[in-house]
Amino acid sequence: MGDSWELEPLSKTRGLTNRMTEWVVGLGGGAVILSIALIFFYLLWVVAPIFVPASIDAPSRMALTEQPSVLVDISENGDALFRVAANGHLEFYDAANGTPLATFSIDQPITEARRVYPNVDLYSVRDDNNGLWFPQTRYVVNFAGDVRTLTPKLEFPFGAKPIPLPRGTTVYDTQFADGTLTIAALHTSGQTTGTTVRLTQYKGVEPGYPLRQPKQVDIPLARSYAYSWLGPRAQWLYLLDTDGEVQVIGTSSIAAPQSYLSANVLPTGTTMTAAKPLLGRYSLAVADSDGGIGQWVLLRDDNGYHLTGVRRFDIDEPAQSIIVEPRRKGFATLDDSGRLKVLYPTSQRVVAELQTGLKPGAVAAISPRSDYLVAESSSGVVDSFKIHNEHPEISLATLWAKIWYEGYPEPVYSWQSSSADNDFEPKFSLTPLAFGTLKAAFYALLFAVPIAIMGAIYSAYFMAPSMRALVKPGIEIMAALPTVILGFIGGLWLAPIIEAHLSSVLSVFFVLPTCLFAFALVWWYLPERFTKPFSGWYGLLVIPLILGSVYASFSFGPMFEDAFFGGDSRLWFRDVMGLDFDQRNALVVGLIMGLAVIPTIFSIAEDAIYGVPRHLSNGSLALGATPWQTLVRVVLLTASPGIFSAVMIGMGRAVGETMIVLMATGNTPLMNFNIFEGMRTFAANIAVELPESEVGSSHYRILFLAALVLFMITFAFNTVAEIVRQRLRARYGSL
Amino acid sequence: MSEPVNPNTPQNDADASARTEKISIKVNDLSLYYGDKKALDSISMEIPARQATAFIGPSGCGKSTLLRCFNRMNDLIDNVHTTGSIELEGTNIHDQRVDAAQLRRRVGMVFQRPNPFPKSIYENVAYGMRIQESVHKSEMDERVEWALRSAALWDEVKDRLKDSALGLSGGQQQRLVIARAVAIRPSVLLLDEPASALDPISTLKIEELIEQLKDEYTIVIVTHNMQQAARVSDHTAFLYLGELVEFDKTDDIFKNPQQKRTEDYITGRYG
Repeated sequence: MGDSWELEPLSKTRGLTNRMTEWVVGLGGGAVILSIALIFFYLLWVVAPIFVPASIDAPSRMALTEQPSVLVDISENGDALFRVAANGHLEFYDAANGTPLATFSIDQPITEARRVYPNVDLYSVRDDNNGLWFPQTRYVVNFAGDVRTLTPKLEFPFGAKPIPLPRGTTVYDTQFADGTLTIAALHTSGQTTGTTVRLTQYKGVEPGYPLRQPKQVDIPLARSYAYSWLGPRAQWLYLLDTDGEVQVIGTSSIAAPQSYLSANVLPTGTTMTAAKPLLGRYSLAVADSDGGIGQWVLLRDDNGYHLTGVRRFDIDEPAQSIIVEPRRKGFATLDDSGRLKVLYPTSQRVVAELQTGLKPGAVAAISPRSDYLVAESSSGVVDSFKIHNEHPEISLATLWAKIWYEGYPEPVYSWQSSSADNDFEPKFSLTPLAFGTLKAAFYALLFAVPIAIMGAIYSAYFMAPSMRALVKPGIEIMAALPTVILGFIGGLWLAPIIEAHLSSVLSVFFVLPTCLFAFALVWWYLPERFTKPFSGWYGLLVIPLILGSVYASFSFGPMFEDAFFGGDSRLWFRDVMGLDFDQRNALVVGLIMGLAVIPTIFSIAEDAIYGVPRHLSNGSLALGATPWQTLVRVVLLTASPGIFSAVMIGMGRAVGETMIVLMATGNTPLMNFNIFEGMRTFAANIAVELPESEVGSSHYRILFLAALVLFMITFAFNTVAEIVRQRLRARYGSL
Repeated sequence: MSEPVNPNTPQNDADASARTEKISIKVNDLSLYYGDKKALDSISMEIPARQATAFIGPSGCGKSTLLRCFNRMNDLIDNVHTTGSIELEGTNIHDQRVDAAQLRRRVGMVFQRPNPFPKSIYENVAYGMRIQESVHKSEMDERVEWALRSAALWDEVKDRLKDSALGLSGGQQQRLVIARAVAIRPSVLLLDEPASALDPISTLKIEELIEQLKDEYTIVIVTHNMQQAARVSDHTAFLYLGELVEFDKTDDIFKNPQQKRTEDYITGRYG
């Protein structure tokens, strides 16, 4: 070796340990980033189909028997085509290739046929003798020898004999729901001027058994109408003519029909080109010669019924026929040039369109799942269009803007994802959820931030070290309290107390600070020999004071209530301040969720304040600053990055908190800042609704979207917090 | 224990002898206890105004503790109590009517480690004024400039007064801290090993600064560097184990110590 020396390699074990550590740490960090990215992309992947535009495929064409059709339809699965031909044949075809599957016959020429609202397998077929037949389709599937065979069946649940329509019937409508079969027929029999509508209603109908005696009423009308539709559950009847004149007749009591309103639904100077009631039959789509389609909804207020135009589509070319979706509120239109457009009311947009060879007025239907449109392009030739349109009701506007829903007097932000009715219009506005999330976080922080930060200041700066050694871990242990227990306490214990003793609870907010200030003032003037023994421990003296003030507040609460709130504070808030009161409200959430975030904010802020170097505060004191000046101008300034990040982390926790808001908010998706009403937050909404939502449905995907938005909100908060903290630290923290 | 020296001994510098006539801080039989432990033992001394007085002694001898008595910084430590008295320009600083904050306004202090606040250079110097009084903006600008000039820092920072003070070098920071202390126009400046964390050039600058400042202020400096004490101070006190061993003119202490312990310490035989 001599004078030279050699660089020895690290010993084997040291080298190995070093490399292993690098690997493990690198792998851990990478895995964290990767899993967060994966969560993000998974959410995005579930949400993405919402934003894929709808489309219509080029049609597959089938030549059927050479007969004009009065009705074409396609089965639920899209595998069988059903047709009613003008010669009285009811035929089934394989929808894939047009192979005939079965044929039934009524032995009478057929003039018109359509579905019996709201069913998708029950039809009304009118023969040229004015008889109304009610055939029902059924499909039996067999898996003999692993081959799926489909056997169509045709049944007549209301008997194999037709129900006669009045003589001279021009238009009719049928409805069968909840065991009630209702037929409305507009006819001219027995009259010289005007028309008459005849309502026939069979109650207690059981398929397969003979119909009982119906109730029947003839309502004379002053004029003739081109359309007649039964409203929801046959509660009312729409009568509409091509000049836009509408009459609505209440028919809830068939014995005593009453006129609800007359109105005109056409813009002046236009004529009607087509009209149909949309699913639910609360609204009518009325197409005019200007290329517009108005949606008119029947609304009821104190002044009676109104037909209100809630929106108007502009589709350039006048729609010559409207084909409605049987299970959604969407519809398709055909114009003179054969352009097929699929529209959706809630999102008010044309979701897809296609140039077709269909003539306006072609016999057509949309399948129950809204994934096929079948139409007769020429006599005996049927085109089948595959429609990819899973989520037409969702657009940026329906998610975030005010939408005018059916049955509402004005556009609103609303979240209502389900109801008992199938014909319900889902309301998927994320705005009330975002609002509720921020409202809950705001009230929680309003309560938590002052207490946590002042507590942190006291503990870090004024408290005796021995007391701090007990208090700090004590508060930090509070963070380990399961939030489900806090939510439980808030919802079941605190909420009823606040409801019953509102004025007492409110007076605490005045009595407690007043007592504290008074106590501090007295303490200031006490001779030192009384105060000295408590030096650094006087925080303890506040505990009985707080308990005493709360007790006093509850004792004097009723007096307070009599003096300021006229004896009933809840009534006073409602009548005088216009604030409604719910038992589970933002006050409860503010207190309980505030309690849940206090330990987080306290702990981080306390560390930050305690970590301010002594030589800085000494430097300030040595310049003649009082301890308070030193605290405000040097200590808090230097600790500000830490305090800021404490608040932000508390905010992130409050935004993402689930169990407390779930149990203590009432989960009402409201859009007001009233502290006495509840809210629904993203997190609680997901927890409540995800388990019961259908996988792949719009509702399901929107819940994932809510999760994505929540994820991004917390991500944004944390990112902003981190950036601001880094900047503040660069300015104030590098000591 | 030596008798405190009468500082009225003739000096070759006429100015200096004129300055020495006034006593700034008079310590009378001061003892200080941390709990039961006696840290300062019956110290009596008179610190002359507008001169530099150095405290030397081995680590733990109480020189910093004594210094911190002069602006009552020891009040911040739990379990400390003192006996005896300290008079600042004739007023007992432990008097009921004397507020610690008011006292510290008159007795500025500079610590061993530079401790600028995380604020701009300007705000650091203005801090003392802002907490005491409402000073008009233009006057504030003047006072800041004056203070920075007094600390020989103005030329280096005049173009970046709004920049963070934390961007300055250690030596600049220490001069900034001196400027900060000077800005509120104290009568006494306490320097607690002000150059111990600095490089030789910065140390030199601080020493030059002390040389200048003692025309205006009574300076008390704690140092463990005897050359420094010899260079900057007019009087030197040697403390050992909480006792004031010897207090005399610096020249006398270093050239002709009266006490054997002083001589041993100065010549490096222990400490």
